[in-house]
Amino acid sequence: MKFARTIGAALAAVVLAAAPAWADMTDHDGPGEPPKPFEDLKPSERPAPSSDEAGLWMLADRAEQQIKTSGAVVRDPAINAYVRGVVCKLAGPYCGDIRVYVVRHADYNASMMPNGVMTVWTGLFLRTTNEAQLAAVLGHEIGHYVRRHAVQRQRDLIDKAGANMIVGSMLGAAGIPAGPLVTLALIGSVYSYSRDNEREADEVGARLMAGAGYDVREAAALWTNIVAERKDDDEEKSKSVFFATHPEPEERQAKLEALAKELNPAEPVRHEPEFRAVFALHLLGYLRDELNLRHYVKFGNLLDRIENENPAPGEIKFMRGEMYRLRAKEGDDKKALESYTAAEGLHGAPHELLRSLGVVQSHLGDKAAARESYGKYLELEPDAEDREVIRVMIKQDE
Amino acid sequence: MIRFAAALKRAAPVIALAFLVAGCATQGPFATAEKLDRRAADLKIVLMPPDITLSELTVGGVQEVNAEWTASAKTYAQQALQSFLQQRNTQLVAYKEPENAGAGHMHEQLIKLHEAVGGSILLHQYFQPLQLPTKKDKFSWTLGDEVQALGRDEGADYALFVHITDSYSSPGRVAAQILGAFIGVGIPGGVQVGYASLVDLRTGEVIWFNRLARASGDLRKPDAARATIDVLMSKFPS
Amino acid sequence: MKRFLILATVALALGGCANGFSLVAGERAKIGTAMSVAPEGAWNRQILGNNEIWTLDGPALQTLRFVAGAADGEPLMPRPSATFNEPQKDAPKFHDNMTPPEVAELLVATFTQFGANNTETKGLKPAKFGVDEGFRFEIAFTARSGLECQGFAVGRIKDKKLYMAIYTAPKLFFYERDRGRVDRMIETLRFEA
Repeated sequence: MKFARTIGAALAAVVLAAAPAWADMTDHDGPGEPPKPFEDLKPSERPAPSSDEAGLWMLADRAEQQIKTSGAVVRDPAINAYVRGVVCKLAGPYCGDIRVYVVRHADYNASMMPNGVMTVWTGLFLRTTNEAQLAAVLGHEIGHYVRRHAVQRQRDLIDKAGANMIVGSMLGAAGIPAGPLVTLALIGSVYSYSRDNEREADEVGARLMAGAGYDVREAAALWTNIVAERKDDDEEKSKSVFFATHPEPEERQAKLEALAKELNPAEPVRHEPEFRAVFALHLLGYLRDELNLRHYVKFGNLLDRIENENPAPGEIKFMRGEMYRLRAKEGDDKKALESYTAAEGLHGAPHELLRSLGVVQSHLGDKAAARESYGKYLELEPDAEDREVIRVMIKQDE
Repeated sequence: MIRFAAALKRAAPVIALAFLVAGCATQGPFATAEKLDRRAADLKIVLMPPDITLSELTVGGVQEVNAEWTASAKTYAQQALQSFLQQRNTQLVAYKEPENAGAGHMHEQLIKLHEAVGGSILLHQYFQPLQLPTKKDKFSWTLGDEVQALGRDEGADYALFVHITDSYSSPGRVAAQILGAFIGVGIPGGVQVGYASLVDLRTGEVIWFNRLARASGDLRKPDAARATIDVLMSKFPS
Repeated sequence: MKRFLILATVALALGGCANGFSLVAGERAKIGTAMSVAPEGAWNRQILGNNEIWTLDGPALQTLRFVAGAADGEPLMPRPSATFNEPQKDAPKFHDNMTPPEVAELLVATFTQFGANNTETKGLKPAKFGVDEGFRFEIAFTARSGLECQGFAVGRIKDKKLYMAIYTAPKLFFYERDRGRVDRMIETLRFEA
């Protein structure tokens, strides 16, 4: 009660006291100067302190502080060096202004903040099959940055968001949830660029790719991969903000193919072996992250596409088995068993396969086979974290 | 989904204000002692990097952050804190990031731990629906004695943490407010929310905590900033 | 901090978390319909579906979570609609034919979906759940803010339902301070007849 009265009195005080305070402020609802036409950002340029762009930069700086010390940032030196290397090949004179953070996060996204912070989700590395495709995504983001699309968007949005929401959505797009309420959809509704901006970024990205010697046709090829993942996945279509806010893939593919014809260098490169070498050991972990989202149709499509190109078929068949095991619908234990059996002995099949095999064999009632699988698992992994429990499980089934 | 998001965006400031206005059983400030421990001749308080954001509320309810205001607000707030403490014979030193990576990580974790403790105080001490029955009768919060590392590295006996978020109504919005007040509709005006806490770097105990929530006050100018800090530092141990 | 506050407030308001905390102390306290435990000292408890959250300083500083019987097809932790768009849809679910390693996996998947980073379990071993046979494992994760946290869990599957006690707290100071006390309390867990 007392508090409410205080607020009421204070509101009145603001109204009365406001007159001298705001009389010397400019007579419109936005701060600072009138908007300039959109010239490209120049290397090492920082916005004037009184501009609304400076305000956005400040929020982005604050978001960066949170990203830096978040638990989700990947600190692997080889991955960081590689991604930064690609960024610098593309960005030329802007290379020094861009700080890259690789974030452990399923699904594909890369984003740039107005102040030069670039974040890349590890899920992206499952969708790009070579360095040129990675360059397509990073080049696109650099396009948004140099064309200052973030400030444009801030001014254009009809139903704008508050400062906290902006930081929250920056962090959400970066993959560092600011709180439980930030979902991809929430990010999208606040943080999406206009379709024109997206087309412009595609074009700038293509030019940067060509300038760095990459095969621009790979930008179109990437979209083929992404579209393939959406097959038969109705929930994803309606849920994915990514597709609501970007031009339709078919349109992008056509445009990018045309740009490739126009811009491609004489001997365009894709650098597929280099790309694979960097991420080979991490793929299984990234696939686990995807499976954790529990979007089974999408995951199955992803595996279908990767299976054809992956030099480690044991890994893929094992993850397919995991998919069935976790989905646990009628008949899935049997499907999982088939996948694990197919994976056994193939290159890349991890030791944990034997434990998962034991589990589904146990579910299917084949206790003898389960014991054998668990036993083999312990032989190969004598220091397994769950060895004591597995030993008990072996004994129990006897 | 987008509708939900839009509704949430609009609702957030109102809910925040509602929270502030809700019947709070305990308003603070809270202090576990009236005096600082002055056994050490040269008492030092380290000011942890202040978390201050200033923005402007436009008619649509948008907060456009103003970098210039924020930069000067930080300076004015720091100066005001310095003189406030000088008058009470206490030295305020700025936080220095340690060079050693291990120490840096420890400081980082301590700052995050303080965020968790401060947030818990705001949620459970000030917000009646979520009060903790075991904390009903006394104010007892601590970060634990690992804070001693911070004390050693910074050469300080206490750490002062400050968070302030302030917003000012634009002219258009004030006009709308006057209309609204007349017909009884309350449009949240510029609201100032913040808190400050003082942690004893020997024990980790939060020995003073104050939440600032009032609809007037100004950090954009030095005098007004001093007044704001005076309110914030109410009942600070001497 | 304001962001924390607004989001927390909204989450609670929309999630109908007006339950709040009640005091639990004394010789023995019932948890759900099937379990009971002897509190050591006075705790604050909040009931959310088939979960009970016990805390001394607030859930951000320590959480002793009791899962009082998750049935086949149910998630480990209830998902308030304010926190998740489609509360039950993508939740990792318990199945009554799960083995202990699968329960540890369920916890990791659940924590990850709630926003924890680098969640890991280790040291999975047979252990007493009160006086009954069960299993136990250790947990480590990084909270959304980057604060490193630690914990352990004890569990048992009985009559096709999963029962657990999960203790987590920031690694700095809080985990160790109350670990012994929580361990002793867990020894007193009993299933009601």
